[in-house]
Amino acid sequence: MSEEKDIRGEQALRAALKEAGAPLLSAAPGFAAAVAAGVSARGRALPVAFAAAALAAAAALLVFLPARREPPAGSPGRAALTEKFENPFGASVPGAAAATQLLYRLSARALEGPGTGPAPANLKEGL
Amino acid sequence: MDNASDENLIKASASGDTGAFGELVDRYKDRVLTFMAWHFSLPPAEASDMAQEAFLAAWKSAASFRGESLFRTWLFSVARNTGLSYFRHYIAKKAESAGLLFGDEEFENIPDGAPGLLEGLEAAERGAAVRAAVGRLPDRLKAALLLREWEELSYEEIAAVLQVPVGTVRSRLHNAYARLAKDISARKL
Repeated sequence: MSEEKDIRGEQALRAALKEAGAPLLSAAPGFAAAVAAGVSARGRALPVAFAAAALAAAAALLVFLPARREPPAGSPGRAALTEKFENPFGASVPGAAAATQLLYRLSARALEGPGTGPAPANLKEGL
Repeated sequence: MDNASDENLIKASASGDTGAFGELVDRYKDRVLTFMAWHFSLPPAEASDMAQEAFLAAWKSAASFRGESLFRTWLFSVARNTGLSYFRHYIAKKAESAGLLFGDEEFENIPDGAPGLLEGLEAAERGAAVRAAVGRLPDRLKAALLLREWEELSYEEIAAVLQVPVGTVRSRLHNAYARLAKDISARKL
């Protein structure tokens, strides 16, 4: 009985609520404009972030990539600033010949050939 | 644009159509503002800031709307999540104190005279009495009432928005009706 009364009471109230309408708060006049500004700011933020990232990447490439300059066609080649050492690995380093001699001397198995002889006890001796 | 459904407008918004999103803001600004004020017990100025944030969050995540629920269920969920993420600590304290005022699990009785409570009043008087009584309800009950009576969400949809069990939604609504009836009857005497 009490449950039935509750249901009838609830129904009456719900009908009254519907009839009365929601007592909504009203957004300020600038509300929609503020949201629109926020939306367009977010829309701009992404391209700006991408552009900044692309610039940073380009700058990094410029800094870290070695410049490769080809001599103009027909121009005489320049003399190398350092002695070029031809070795099987293709590396060219100053003083490489002396280092190779030392390595030969350090090798106890080498019986003859360049750099053979007693291995130095003190490595500095070889240098 | 005026006749377009909410669901179509949010899909257009997901493709970057700011005009479509503006239409949604116009349709829902008062409702989201009221929900924020009531659900999070915020004064109007703060509720307005939070409602703006909620719309920006909706714009940002428009692509996540898959049409599996009503647009307004999704929008109020976004609004609730926005409010929570900004005021998590503040709200936890607030909810704790609000919980002391009324228990979600406790059912209040609707007074016996409720069915005829508003009889004999003119429509305008009835409306004013009901709206004033709604205004005096605790915020949490008002938010549940807003979603149920004026947004016409089901209990399950309200539970999904508020992230509470369906039983809690039922008890909040029942208590809202009970308090409304008591309030109106007390002022009528």
